[in-house]
Amino acid sequence: MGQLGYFFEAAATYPFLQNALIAGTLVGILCGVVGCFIILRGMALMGEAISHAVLPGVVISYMLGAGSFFFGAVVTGAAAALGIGFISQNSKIKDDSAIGILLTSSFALGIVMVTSLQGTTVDIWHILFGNVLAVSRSDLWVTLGITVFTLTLVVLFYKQLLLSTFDPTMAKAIGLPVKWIHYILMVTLAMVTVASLNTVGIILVVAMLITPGATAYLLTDRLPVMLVLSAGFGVFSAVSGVYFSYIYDVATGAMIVVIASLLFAAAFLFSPKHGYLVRMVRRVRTGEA
Amino acid sequence: MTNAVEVAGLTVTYNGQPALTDVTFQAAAGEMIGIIGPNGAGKSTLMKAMLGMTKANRGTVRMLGSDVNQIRKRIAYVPQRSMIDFDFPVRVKDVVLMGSHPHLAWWKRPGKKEKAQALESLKEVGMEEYASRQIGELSGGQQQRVFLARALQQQGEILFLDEPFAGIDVSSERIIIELLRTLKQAGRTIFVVHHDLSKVEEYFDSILLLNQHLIGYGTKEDVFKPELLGRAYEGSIASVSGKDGEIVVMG
Repeated sequence: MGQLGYFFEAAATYPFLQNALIAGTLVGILCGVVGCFIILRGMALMGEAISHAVLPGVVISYMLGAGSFFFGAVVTGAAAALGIGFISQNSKIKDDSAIGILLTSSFALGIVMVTSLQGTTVDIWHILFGNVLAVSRSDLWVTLGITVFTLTLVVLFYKQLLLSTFDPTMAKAIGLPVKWIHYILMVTLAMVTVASLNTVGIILVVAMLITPGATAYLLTDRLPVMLVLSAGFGVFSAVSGVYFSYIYDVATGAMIVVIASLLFAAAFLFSPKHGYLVRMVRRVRTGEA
Repeated sequence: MTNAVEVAGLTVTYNGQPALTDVTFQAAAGEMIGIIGPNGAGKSTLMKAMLGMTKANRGTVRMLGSDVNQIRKRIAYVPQRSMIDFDFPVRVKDVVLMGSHPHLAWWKRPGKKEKAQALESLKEVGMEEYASRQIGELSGGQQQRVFLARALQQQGEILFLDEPFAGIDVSSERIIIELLRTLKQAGRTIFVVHHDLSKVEEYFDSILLLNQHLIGYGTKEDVFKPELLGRAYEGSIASVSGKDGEIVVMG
């Protein structure tokens, strides 16, 4: 309890801790909501690829001295998504291999570019793993903007997202622009990565997208509930991750992901309907053991 | 009276391989047509090309006197069950409500009226008790009935069903075929992709026999004949139980 009091006192005193908590909350909601659609569309690997492909864009923005790396990151992230589609449609290479190639090649390109910049202030560690305790006000505004924009899109187009995710064939039959919805989601993924850069970093952002959503998926059979639960788990992981990393002086992004993963493990074992234990019990009862 | 559907010279190729070649036919309102042919005959491709979901290399499709893009609201499509992820977090009534989407403005959600209508649609397929179940908790036949309820909710004048009878129980099969007959009586045009030859004569009045080319099209008396079936099912053996006993078709 003393540690909690100590943390609240610190949070009340230090603006950097306040910023960290706000950024964590926003990223928890944003990744939680977008992640549900990524999971249901079977695009987890795609999310991984796009988040890594953001790196060269971030570095180019630094090289050009741009104030924000927003545009650079979105451009290279989206280019990777298009590239994956282009390779798998125009050769016999399958989707997963195309993703593997573009993920690693764009990430490697980013690393080569970073290491070519000598004597600059680019801290590759922070881009890769986040540094939520160094979130600035302007970073917060970017994250807030992306969160509001994305959530507005999800609310406005919920109906279309639901149908094109559940039954793309019917969506096409009634004339929904299924391809465009796919590409808009890709661009959104790149933006989500940018928003999460400070909090968890490029490498671990996919955990924030997938893990809270997967946890929620095991606990409910309704998409609206899944979205709310997922956002809730995202926020809980982010806030308690900031807390533990401050108290024990460990890496914040990684701590956030560890907590999200523990929540998942708990849901996996104990979910009342889809949990491992319930399944075991059911199997024993029906004599299938 | 104009035809509900007119297809002329429809040709589709996948990566240079012909999938459909020069398919031409017309269907009047109030017809139920079984699209029959062996695996890989292009049955689903024909449906998708008619709906403009697969690009046709040549040919035209007119529905209700217009281009398909003009009348999408008046068409209902029931996908193959194997295309659906049944772990998806939706309940039965949520699935049926999707049938209202084409009739709502893009920003509008289904409201009271649509929800009441969805329960009616579920009643018609005998699934109203299951309205709040997750879709994966149902049997295959029950799932198929729910998708038919969604098509009813769409109130389409032309219905497309892709393998609706694959792997379902007898009572679901009966409910579905009876409902389709009622819809046909009400003047709907219905296309059903079907590959189980044993039930063809029982289900359909009109048959479209396909194997990349249109092998035969017309009443079952004209089309469901050994020589035509033999041409469609070339190289494979199909056993058909017709009115005059068992016909065995050999390639």
